[in-house]
Amino acid sequence: MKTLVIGVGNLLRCDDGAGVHVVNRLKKLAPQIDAVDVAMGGVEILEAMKGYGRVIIVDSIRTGAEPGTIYNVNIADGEEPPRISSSHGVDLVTTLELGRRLMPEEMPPEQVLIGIEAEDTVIFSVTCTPRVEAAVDRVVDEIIMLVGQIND
Amino acid sequence: MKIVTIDPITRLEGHGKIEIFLNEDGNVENAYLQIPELRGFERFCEGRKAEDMPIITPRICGVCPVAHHLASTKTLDAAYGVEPTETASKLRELMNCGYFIYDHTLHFYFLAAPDFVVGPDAPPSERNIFGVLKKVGLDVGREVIKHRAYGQRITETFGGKATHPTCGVPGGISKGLNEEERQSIEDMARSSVEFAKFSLGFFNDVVLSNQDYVDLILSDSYQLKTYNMGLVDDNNHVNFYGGDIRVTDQQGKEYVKFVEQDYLDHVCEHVEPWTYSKFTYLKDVGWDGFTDGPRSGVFRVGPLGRLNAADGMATPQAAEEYKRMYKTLGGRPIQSTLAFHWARLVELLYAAERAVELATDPGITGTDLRNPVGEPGEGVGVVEAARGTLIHHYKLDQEGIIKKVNLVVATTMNYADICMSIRDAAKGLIKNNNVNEGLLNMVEMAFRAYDPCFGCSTHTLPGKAPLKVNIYDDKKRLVETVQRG
Repeated sequence: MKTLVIGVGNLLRCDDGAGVHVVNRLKKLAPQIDAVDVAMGGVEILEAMKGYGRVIIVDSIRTGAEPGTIYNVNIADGEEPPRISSSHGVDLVTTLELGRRLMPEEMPPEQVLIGIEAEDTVIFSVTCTPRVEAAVDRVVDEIIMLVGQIND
Repeated sequence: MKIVTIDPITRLEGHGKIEIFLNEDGNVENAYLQIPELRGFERFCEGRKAEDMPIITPRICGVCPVAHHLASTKTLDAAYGVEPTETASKLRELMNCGYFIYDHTLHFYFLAAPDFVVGPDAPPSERNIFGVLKKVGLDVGREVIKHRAYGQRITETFGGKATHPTCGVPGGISKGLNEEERQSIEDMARSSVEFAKFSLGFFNDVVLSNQDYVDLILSDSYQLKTYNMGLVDDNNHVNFYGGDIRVTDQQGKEYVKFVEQDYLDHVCEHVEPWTYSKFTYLKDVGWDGFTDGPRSGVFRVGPLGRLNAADGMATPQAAEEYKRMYKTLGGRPIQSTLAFHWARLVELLYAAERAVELATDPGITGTDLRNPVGEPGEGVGVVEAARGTLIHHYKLDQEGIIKKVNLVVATTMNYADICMSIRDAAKGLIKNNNVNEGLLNMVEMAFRAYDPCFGCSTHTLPGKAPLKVNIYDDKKRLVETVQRG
């Protein structure tokens, strides 16, 4: 199954960039996996997702849990994601719903959301806080294992 | 005194908080928008190589990356004392047109249309893009998504993603256009012209044909008599990429026109203790608090500010739409905040028409892409972002290392206007403690019109994002919380 990994976030704002760090690391460690950084998310991700069998979206989130906590939600299975409301006009859930309504035949049947609980998203820094950094590594490993298995 | 807090603001680029202060009678005393801090960015940049700035600054804000990229590149042109080649200037302008196409499209259909198409009093669960699609049909939705993607593809043709442009270099651009790319851009731009015309027709049918909406646009609650600012070409027509900065007064007459490097002679910043963001005003007029009129140096930027600051549009169909807008709403300048939406669509048409002009310019596929740079120094660069005039200013040392950075962004320039528009809308719509959801949304409409962008803030949000209204008594004790979302 052809898989696309999408990283969402602002690389300059510390843990906000966790999803982008995952994508950048995948590009180095597993260049065979299609991975793309769409920065602020929004409807751009619909264009990127077209034609794939599965999409894995990695984003930083804030739920009040321990920083570095990883959420793994299979949206296509009807699982309710933690409510992620993007700050940029169109949130992720709305975007994916829009894709289903407007271009259902082009959207990946499998849609997975990986959320990484952030600690600091205010300071300007191109590195994450230690617990989020560790979570980024774990997510990268998980994605490589998952995509590798499916491709085998 | 009672305090009404709307937090966070729904359907806004970034997050902020509105606070409405009521007096003892339950009427509006004052209103302010709190916006998050952009703290430490200057320090983050200092010591970096100047040529990295066009790559770094688009990442401050994923909402207007192209505008930051181009302002930064123009700043480096000035700092290295080099003029870009003619081809490079045209390509950069074409890129900005693509950005305006995708940004204005998103704002109108996703952020503005729900209020007008579904209705300002409709429940929040319907007043969103799905409510719009229900009324206009899925085919229109597909056209919206398609043309937003076209705008992005136009900007991406020059290399680098629209969200992370990399092509601008001091003195030019790193990648030119081949004939195949040019043809593709021309096709997308021509399609965007038709889409913009459709959107204006749609606005006409839904908004202008509804007398209630026209009355709302022209109502006193949404009027603000400020100065206006925007970039203009030699004919005083709107330009998104270059020209001089022109300011017009409350009668629409030219107040001042200046070149970008003189901005500090004309634009000042005022500080208030309750917010990290500054308020800009015209230096010669002065700061007169949160007031409008000729004695207050507050000015507006963005679609309506630009159209008011100019004498017309440089492309034929947009020029006609410009005239129609001013004729319909009573001549230039238009003071109604809600007219920003109409102005945005006139600009969408201009951006598309201008993109066709540039894509069919015989010189656009030229290979003279870059001029040699001079010695590093100091520079100012200005472009129009979708939200308004954007100023970058850097000082470099002899090695081309950043010593000082100053950015003046559109939302800062509109900040005082936004606070006043919220206050005035609230005054007309919240009376004697009567605060219901429809009324609060009208207040939000007042500042959504500006398309304020706090994307220079962050992407992560709290897990839940309800709309929350806190009402305090005159001793600032919380007496009531109203929540939606």
